[in-house]
This record gives sequence, C-alpha cells and structure tokens, in this order.
Amino acid sequence: MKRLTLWICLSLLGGCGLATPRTGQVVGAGVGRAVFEARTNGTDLVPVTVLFPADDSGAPLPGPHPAVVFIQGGFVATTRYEWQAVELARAGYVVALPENQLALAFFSVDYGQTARTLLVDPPRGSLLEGLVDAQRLAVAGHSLGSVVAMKLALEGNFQAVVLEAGFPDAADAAQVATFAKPSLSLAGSLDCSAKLESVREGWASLPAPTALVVVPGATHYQFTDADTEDRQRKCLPDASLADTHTRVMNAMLAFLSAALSDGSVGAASLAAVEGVTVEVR
Amino acid sequence: MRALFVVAVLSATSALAEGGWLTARGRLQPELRFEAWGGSRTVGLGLVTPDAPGAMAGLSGELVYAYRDRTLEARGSRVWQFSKNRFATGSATLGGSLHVVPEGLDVGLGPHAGLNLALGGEVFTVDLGVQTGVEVFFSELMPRLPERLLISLNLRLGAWAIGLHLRGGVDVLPGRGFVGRGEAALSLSWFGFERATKR
Repeated sequence: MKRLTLWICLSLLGGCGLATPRTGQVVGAGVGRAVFEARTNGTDLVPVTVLFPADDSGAPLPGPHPAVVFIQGGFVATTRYEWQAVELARAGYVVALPENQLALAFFSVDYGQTARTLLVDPPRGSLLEGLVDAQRLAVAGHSLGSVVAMKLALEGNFQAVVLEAGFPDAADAAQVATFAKPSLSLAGSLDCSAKLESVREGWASLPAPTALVVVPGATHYQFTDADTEDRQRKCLPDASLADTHTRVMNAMLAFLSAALSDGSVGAASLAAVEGVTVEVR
Repeated sequence: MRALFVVAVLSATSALAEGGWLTARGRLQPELRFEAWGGSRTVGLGLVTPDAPGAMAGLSGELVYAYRDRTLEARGSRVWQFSKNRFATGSATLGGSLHVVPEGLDVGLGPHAGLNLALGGEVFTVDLGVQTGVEVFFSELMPRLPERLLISLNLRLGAWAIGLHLRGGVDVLPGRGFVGRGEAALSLSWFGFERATKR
C-alpha cells in the first residue's frame, strides 16, 4: 500500500517528465514534426511544436540547420502556421512554434526565448540535440506575433526578423532605431487588419538592411492556413490562398537564406520572387 | 469578443503562483473548515482553523496540484479578521508558499499577502480580494511577483458550503515583463469536524 501511494504521488508530480521526443512524425515528404515541453517562469509548462528536415522514418536529418522561432497571431492557433513551418523545414530549416498564454503572445513574450533556448540548448538525447545552428537563428511572427517577434529580436539573440502583416510596437521605437540585424516586412495589399499603410509606416521605422515585400491581393489571414475569417468579415482577397502562400514562402526563403548567411536581405533573390513588389533599404 | 477573452483568461495555460484560495475570504468561519476544490488549472485541498472556536484569527494550510503544469505547491498563511461579522467584513492574510517542480527538483519559495472583503451574511457572501507576493525559484534565482484580483460566491448550508471562485492577474517578472494568469474553481467545504468528534 505504501509503495502504491508513493508511486501515485511520484506519477502525479512528475508525470512522464517533460516531453523530449527522440523522433518525429512524418507530416510531409522530408518533414518531421514533434511536440516538446519546456519549463519557464518557474512553473510554466510551454508546449513547443517543432518541424524539421527528416528522413522517411521521421528521424531528423543531420544538422546543424538554420532555425526559425515563429510567434502566432492573436487568438490564432499555432497549427494554422504549420504550412509555413512545413515549407521551411522542407527547405532545410528547423521551425519552433511555442504555444503562448491565451494564444496571445503579448501575455507571454518570453515564451519565444523559451523556444529559442529549447533549440540551442536542447534536452540531452532528444532529436534536437546537435540539430540547430545557434548562429543562424531567426524569429518571425504574424500580426500580433510580429509585434512580439520584433520585441524578441530586440533582445539580441536572433540574427534576423520577419514581420508578417504587422509592425513594431511604437513603445519600442527607440530600440528599433538602433536595430542592426536584417529584417523583412511582409504585407498583404488587401489586409483589413494590418492595413498596408500601417505596415509601410512600421517598416519605415526599421533601419537598414530591411525589405518590404507586398503580396498583391493578399489579406490578413492568408498568412495562416485559411482565409475564412477575412471572408466572414467581407474582407475579400484578390489572390488565391495557394498563390499567396507561394509568394510569402518564396520571399521568406530568399530573405532567410541571405540574412542567415551574409547578414543582407538578399535583394537580388527577393527581386526574383514572382508576383510581389519589393522595396529594399 | 469579450466573452472569448474571459474564457481565454480563465483557461490560461498556467495559474500557479499566488496566495491561498481558502483565506481569500473576508469572514473567518467559527469552526474548523476543510475544503477541496477543482479549477481550470489546479486541484487541491486544505483547511482553515480558527485559534479558538469563533476567534477572529486563524491558520490555514493548502496542498495544490497544478495538473497542466505538473507541479505541486504547499501554502500556509495566518489570517486576521478585522471586525466581528457584519454585512461587510474584512480580513488580511500573510503567509508563504513552496513550489516543487519535478524536473531537476527545482523549488520556489516566497511570501504572500492579501486583503479580503466579504459582503453578505451567514449563508451567502460575495468575497472580493487582492493578493500580492514574491517567489524565487532556486535553479535560476528567478523572482516573480504574482498580483491577483479575486471574486468568489460562497453559499453555506449547515455543515457544508460551496463556492465559485474566479482569480485573475499577472505575474510580474522583473526585467522580463509579465505573464497573464487566470483560473476559475469550484469548491466544497465541510465544517462538521467538531460535531463529528463530539458524537
């Protein structure tokens, strides 16, 4: 009886320990997916979904790979950004998506740092061990997530930042003015939530090297896996979801490739992306 | 949208780090009180014992399991009622808590304080409270300051009472910002210990 009680107590307290998978589930050709748990703020347990280049069994391809921490938009599930993560993983990136408090990254800004720590200092024996190049690490976010992504970038542990349909917090203006890393701002020309003028204004506050890529006909939720919310709000896109996804991903890959290798925005590669307008400073 | 926000706050992924549930009430009941509760983040049980039957000061202890974060917390506090029972009755609490985080056996320690106001009578009260505290986790020497507002509805029928409790606020993380917190809980209390033992 005493043993049973002790076992129940230990099981309740420890559960199965933190989730630190050794292999992932194959979610597409060459892409694996695994969900980790990380501890932060003393007691908080943060689920972090990681997508990575993998073989047919879901085992990671040998690293180190460049990586991206992706911050979800307000009240938007991280799963709705996995299409981006899959494409990035297919191109050789490891992508971490932390689940933020209340699905509002603003309430738990440091969860992005928790995800970064998980990537660069992973649990021993997990599939992340030796997988990520800590010197080639970017942070990206959509909408409210882009505001938080910029805050994380300002903390200095990322080599590049991507803002999707968003802009820096005006409260960070002084720090943004001295930001010395490459940045990419992605905007939809028909975005009803983060209007193009606002994104352009926010981009104007970013120091060089920086690029603004406008996807014509794209709306706010086309950066996620569906534009249902836009259509319900009568904010109709003038581009198909598939076309927007292709353009967004081509621009991201062109930028990340350059930003995480030579610290530029990859102006020539961005200019070669079809169907978008590009401005570079 | 407002309803969605409330639901989101009450299902926040973490809600540990705060003062006690049991002493977050303006009235100190005259008898020994046992209580168990289940919330959106935690389950727990505890007791409040007055210094003497009907005394205006007492002690409390709580054991809490945060089932989503898989951590254990023990809390203890001293509670002082400001006046004899009337429609608006206030109390203050001062205590401490101990967190146990299983991986690496990290431990968090710190004091808590609270002010509470009960509005109502012997049967039904609406309780309002504010809580503050400091906790330090030893693995990183990381401090956090839980700041909370509470409202609870308590109904006592003889030796039993039920309660609905809502608590929300932030943990201030010095130098790192803040994290939103929230929890809703239902409780069941029993006051029949003296009667049961006298039989």
